[in-house]
Amino acid sequence: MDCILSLKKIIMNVLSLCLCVSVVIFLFIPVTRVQADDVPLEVLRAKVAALEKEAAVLEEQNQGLSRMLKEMDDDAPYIVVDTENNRLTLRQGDKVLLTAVVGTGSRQFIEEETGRNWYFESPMGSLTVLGKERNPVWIRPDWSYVEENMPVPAENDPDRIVREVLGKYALILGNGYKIHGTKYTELLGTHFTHGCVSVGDKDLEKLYKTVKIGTKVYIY
Amino acid sequence: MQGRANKKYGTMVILLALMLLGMDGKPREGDELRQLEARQSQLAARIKMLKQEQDFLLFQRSFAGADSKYLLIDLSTKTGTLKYRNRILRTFGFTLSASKSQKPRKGRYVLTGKTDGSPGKMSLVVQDSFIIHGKRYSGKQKREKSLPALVVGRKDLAAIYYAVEQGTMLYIFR
Repeated sequence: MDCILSLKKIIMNVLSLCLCVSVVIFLFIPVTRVQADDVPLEVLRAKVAALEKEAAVLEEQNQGLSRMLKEMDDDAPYIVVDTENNRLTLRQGDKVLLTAVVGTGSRQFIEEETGRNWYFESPMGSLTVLGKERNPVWIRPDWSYVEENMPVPAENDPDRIVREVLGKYALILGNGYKIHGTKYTELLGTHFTHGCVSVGDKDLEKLYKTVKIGTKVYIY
Repeated sequence: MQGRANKKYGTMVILLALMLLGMDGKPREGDELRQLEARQSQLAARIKMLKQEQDFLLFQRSFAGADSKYLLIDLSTKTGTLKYRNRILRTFGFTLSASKSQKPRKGRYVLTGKTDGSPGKMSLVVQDSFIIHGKRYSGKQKREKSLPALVVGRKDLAAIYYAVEQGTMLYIFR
C-alpha cells in the first residue's frame, strides 16, 4: 500500500514538474519571441499590407510608363548613317531592313581667296526626308568651282546644271544635303563626299522604294 | 489522504486540459507570424525589383524627347545599344574583361572621360566604375587597371567613340 502511495506521489510530482515546464514554455517563450523580433503581429500585418499597397502602386506606375514608351514607337522605318564606318542602315523597330556601304563627308576644308570657306562634313543629328527625286540633277554649288580653281559663275548660270551624276534617285534632307547615287562606286565605304550620303545603285533603289517623305534620318 | 490526492490529481488534469487548449491557439499565431515574415521579405524583394524597373523606364522616358544620344548596356546578353530617343542607332556585342571578376552594378552612369582617339588607345571612361575599349587595347592607365572593362569590336568602338561625348548617359540593366 505504501509502495502504491509512493508511486502515486512520484507520478504527482512528475506531473507537477511537467505542468511547471509547460507553464514556462507556453507563457514565457512566445512572449520572449515577440520581444526578440520586436514586431507584434498586428504591426507586422499592417507592414505587409502597406508593402502590398506599395507594390501594387509601383506595378501600376510601371505599366503606365511601359504603355507610354510603347505608344512612342511608331514602327515606321528610319535611316541611320554611321559616318565613322560609312554604313547606312534602314531599320524598323528592332529589325534591320537594309545595310549599305556608303560614302560620307570628306572632312576636308577649303578656302576661297575672298575668305569664304567650306568644311565637308555630313550633317550630324536628326533629319527628315523632305522630298524624293527621280533622275536628280546636280546644281553645282560655288565650292565645286572653288575646289577646281575655276571661276564661280552667276547663280542662274546653266553651266551649273549637271545631269546623271547623282544616280537614279535622291532623298532630300534639306540645306543642300541628299542621300543619292554616285558614279564613283569604288569610293563607297570611304569619306569622299562633300557632305551628302552616297549610296550604290541597288541599295539606293531599295531605299527609295521603302522610304516615304517624313522618314527620320539619324546621322552620327 | 487518498481524497486529497485525487483532488490534486483532478486539478492538475484540468490545468493540463487548459494548457492544451492554449496550445491550440499559440502555434497558429506562430504560423501566421512566419507567413507574414516570409511575405514581407517576398514583397520587399519585389518592390526592390519594381523600383529598379521603374528607374529604367523613367530613364528611357527622359530621353524620349531629348536631343541626346544614350547607351543601354545589357550585361546578361552582353549587348549594348546606342540610342537616340526611341530609335536604335547601333547595336554591338561586348565581352567583360576576363581579369575583372566584378561586374558593374545595374543603374545609371555618366560618361566621364574619353581618352585620345588614336587607334588602340581609344577608350571611354564611365565614372570610377568601368571603361569601354576595343580589343588589343594598349592605353590602359594606372587607374583603369582596377576597373572592369567592356571590350568591343574595333568598328563598334570607333562608331560609339565619336557618337558620344562627355556627359552622355548610360544605363546598365539586367
